[in-house]
Amino acid sequence: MSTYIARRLLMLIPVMLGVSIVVFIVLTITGDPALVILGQHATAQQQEALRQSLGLNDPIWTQYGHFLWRALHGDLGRSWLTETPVAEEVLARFPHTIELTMVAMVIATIIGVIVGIISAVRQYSWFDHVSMVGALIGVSTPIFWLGLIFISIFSMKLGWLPVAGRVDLTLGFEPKSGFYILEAIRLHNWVALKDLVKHIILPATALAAYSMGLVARMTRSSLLETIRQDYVRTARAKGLGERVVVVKHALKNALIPVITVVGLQFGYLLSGAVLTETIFGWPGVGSLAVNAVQNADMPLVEGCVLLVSLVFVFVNLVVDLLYAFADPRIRYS
Amino acid sequence: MKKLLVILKPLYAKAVQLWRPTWRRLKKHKLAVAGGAFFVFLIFLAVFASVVAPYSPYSADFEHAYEGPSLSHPLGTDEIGRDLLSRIIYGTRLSLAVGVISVALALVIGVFLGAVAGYFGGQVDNLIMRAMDILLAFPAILLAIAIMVILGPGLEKAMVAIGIVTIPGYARIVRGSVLSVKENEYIEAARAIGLPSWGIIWRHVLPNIMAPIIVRSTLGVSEAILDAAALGFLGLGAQAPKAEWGLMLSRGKAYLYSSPHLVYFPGIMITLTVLSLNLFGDGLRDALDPRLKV
Repeated sequence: MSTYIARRLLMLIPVMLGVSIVVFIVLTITGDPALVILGQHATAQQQEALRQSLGLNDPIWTQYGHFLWRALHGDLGRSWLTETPVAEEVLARFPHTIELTMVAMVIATIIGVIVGIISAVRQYSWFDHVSMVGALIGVSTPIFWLGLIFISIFSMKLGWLPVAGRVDLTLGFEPKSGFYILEAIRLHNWVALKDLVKHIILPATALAAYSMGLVARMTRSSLLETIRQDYVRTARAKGLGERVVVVKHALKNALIPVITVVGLQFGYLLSGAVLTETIFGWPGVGSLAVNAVQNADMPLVEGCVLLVSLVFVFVNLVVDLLYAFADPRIRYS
Repeated sequence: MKKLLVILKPLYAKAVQLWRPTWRRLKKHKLAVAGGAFFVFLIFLAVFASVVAPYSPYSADFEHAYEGPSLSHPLGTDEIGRDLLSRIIYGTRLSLAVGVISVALALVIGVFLGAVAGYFGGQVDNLIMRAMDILLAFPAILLAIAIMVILGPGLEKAMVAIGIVTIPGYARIVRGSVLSVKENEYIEAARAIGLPSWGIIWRHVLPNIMAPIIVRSTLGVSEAILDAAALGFLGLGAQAPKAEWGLMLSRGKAYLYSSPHLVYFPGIMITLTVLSLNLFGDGLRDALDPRLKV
């Protein structure tokens, strides 16, 4: 097992190098930074001086070497717009995205698994039909549209939940880190926690819809397959109650493929956060990236892409490892 | 033309052979048939948009802006009085075009790379698949956004970006299928009589891995339509005044409070389109090969 983990970790290195090359290429061919930074009215001399100081006149591989060296030391350059260090800006936004993604994942998993189990146990009942049609609609709806519909209904028409944002600013809740919900719990600030939950429900549910549908379908089909196996029949033959058979015997094996689906959803949710955050004015990496694209702030765009990809690759690796751990039948080769 | 027909013959022959049993099984799958029928309806709308649509998708009528659904405008009008129904009907053209073209692009490159990697193996396989791993290391929408930053906004460029992002999915499936088909005796026989590798891949390998490729492509079209709508929504895809569903949503969101129909209807259309393709794709998967899991 440990050699398997080590080998997988080693395989990450070429992938991340490849990612950095792609990011570097995008950064290099999207235009002359000297023109963007100095504007069109700068003299040729000024531009040349800036190019010299930014190292843009060096050969391309030297530039890549510098880029990689700086990136490895946590220096991703400065935003062209605000001139703050990119790494600092992206990292400050990251906790917001993680919190949104995690809440979405919890919602998707809990509801998806429960719905899947009920559908499987009561196969072909009205609940099964309704929930499976719902799951299909869930995987077919664009996240950004669902978000807008939620805002239109729950915020504008019914006025139950806030339209956008992270927290009510009048509460004066200013925690040190971006993990607002964790901070509110740590500080026992229940008023803020209630407000934070109100703000996160809509974006997290909109983001979770797709994964929820997928998890529900996966749980249902996996459980149906397991229930037909001999050992489950044996458990029934022993005279065990249906509940015990399903929960204690069948579910354990049925949930293994569900784990993979849930894990892989984390990556999907990270992507989806780009759209959800834009709609709900969520101060995460997604909305940062979209704003950066709109402002043509290249270092910031690339910083977001690089860091999110890093997390994405890492999470996928962890899922693979967890999967191998959960199912001993998987060979580590 | 004749030459092209000769080249395409092995794939065509296999398609004819697959068609009958698949259709027989697919017919029993009611939801899949419904999905397929709706998709055919969408193709009809796209082809005959100029006949079906009651108005031009571009003609503004400021006196009737922001109107809700009525008899003269069944889905209402937008911020400059254009008929929403007509715009949605014309939007079918763009969305189907994006879906089909970007999948075709990814398919050609992905199948080529996957077949080469799977058939030849060794260093070539390693090189191609590691390159695919790198593409897969990016969350899809972020990579598409990064590519759009290089290419600049526009629907045609969105097709290219979505195509590139989805290549690894096809390459992986094709490689896996090629690996399993390659071990068959008929491939060994073809090699023994001295057929060149490309001939074997084209005439004996590809026809036998068509089922998973067809299924993947059907579902791929629905994903491409969703991605294109997302790029349009972010302002990176189709540009105004094009009647593209994602772009319509993006413009409609400013009037979400006063004229929610501008957001409701384009979104419903995207959902129905994607849903129909997903239903059809799921059914097709079961029908093409009952043992197949993609």
